[in-house]
Amino acid sequence: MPATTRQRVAVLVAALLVVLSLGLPWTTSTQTYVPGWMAPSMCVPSADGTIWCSGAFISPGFMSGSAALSGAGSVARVFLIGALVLILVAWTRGESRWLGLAGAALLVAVLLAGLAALGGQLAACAAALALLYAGLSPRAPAPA
Amino acid sequence: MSTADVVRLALHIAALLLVVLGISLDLDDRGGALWSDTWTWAGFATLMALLQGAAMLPRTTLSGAGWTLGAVGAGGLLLFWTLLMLPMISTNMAFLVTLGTACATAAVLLSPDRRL
Repeated sequence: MPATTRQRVAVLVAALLVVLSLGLPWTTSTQTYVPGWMAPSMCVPSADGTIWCSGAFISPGFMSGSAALSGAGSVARVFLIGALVLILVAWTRGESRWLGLAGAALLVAVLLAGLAALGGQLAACAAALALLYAGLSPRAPAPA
Repeated sequence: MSTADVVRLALHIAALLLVVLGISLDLDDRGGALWSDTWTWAGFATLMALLQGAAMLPRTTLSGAGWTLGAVGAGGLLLFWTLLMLPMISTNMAFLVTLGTACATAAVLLSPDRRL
């Protein structure tokens, strides 16, 4: 467990922000609509009274690209859950170095997802700052 | 058996039941359970759900490696949940597996033989 009250609060806030980041958007939608097309048939009458018709062709429209993803649906979920596990390890073992590692994992997740300043990424960055503060700030001196 | 032991045993059993039921029943009208779609991942999750129960074994068995095996099982369930269940968290299958994974993690962390 982190030493000072401020460090403990920072770790708890960071854990909540990571959980929040799982539900917030991490990527924007890249979906575009590709319209379909149709080539009508053509009929040509012949001299003997018959009619020859070509076939009609139709291709329906479709959506391409991917929808917007939340943290739980994107690749970042591996780093978010990994950060939560590291926070738990740091809390139970009382070793603050794991907090710095968790903060670094969150920053890597943001970089891998592409900097888009979306809610999920902002929450992850805020959690990373809180973890880096808790991990790098000095511990309270032992009582004499 | 103390109250804490009963609680841990209940969590281990609940973890196994919830995970196995979640991946074996077609609860979301998908046309089949996870076993029919990706039997390898279903087998992995079942194996990890069985392994997490090893944390209940006394220290005299398996040369004291019971908690380590249980932690591996809980970690495997957490990996399965992160990679496969989290993207479909709104489904019934994901809900049961989430509960099962939480039970396994809690049971392993509550063990008096914990090395974490």
